Amino acid sequence: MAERPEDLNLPNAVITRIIKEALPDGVNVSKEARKAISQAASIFVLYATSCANNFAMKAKRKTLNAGDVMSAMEEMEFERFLQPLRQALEAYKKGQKGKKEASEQKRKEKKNITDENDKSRDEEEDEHMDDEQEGENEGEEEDAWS
Amino acid sequence: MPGQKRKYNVRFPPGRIKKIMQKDTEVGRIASAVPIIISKALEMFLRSFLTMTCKITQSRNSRVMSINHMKQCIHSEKLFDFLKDLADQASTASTSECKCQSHFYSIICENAQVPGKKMKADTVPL
Repeated sequence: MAERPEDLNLPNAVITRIIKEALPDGVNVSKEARKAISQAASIFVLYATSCANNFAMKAKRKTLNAGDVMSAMEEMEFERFLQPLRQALEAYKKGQKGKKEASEQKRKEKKNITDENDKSRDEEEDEHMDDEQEGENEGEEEDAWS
Repeated sequence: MPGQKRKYNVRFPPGRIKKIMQKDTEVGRIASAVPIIISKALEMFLRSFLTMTCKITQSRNSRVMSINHMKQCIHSEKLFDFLKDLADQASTASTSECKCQSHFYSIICENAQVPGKKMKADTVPL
């Protein structure tokens, strides 16, 4: 299995920023320590995944969901993460809902505009306006997440 | 996933997180919210880990956080037991010999074997 090494590394830029924000001014991190932090991050993801997946399997589900992750955090003794994680989840859900409503709204508006154009051109000959309307595909598709 | 503007972007790319998660062969499908939650949890974990290690760094009157400080932190906190392999192996120059107790570090080891090659900035598209 030829795997690219970057596949398991998280972006250095993000890690660096977190390091910067977590440490007081004047404290630096050695190169080796930086690498170890990046590895620790990947290990954390794997460990959390494994834990979460156990909960999903116990519940006979094939899809890992956010609840499983929450249970995993408890198991890993990171209970104090739960509250902020729930907030993050709520924010994400709202965002998704907002996006969906926004694109549905756009779709509605587009249709209304084309409908109005239709009406105003009623006296004129353009029957092919109908074709235009029908030809209008669903250009805006939602992200098909797993 | 575009659209979320924060002042400081400490969000990990969901696609990358998902890739790492799928290294676990027992994992099937993953709900879209999951990489988002994991990213947040990861951020919090790193902050905790760094803060606690920093205390050790400062207690030793050092201005540079080193592997040794991290090792000490890992060994002194039950919370970081899952990082024990990392602590034991981190100071070895090569990762080719990996006597790992925990499964997770061995996965990292396997994928880290690029002798002599420098890793450039990550440009893996989502």
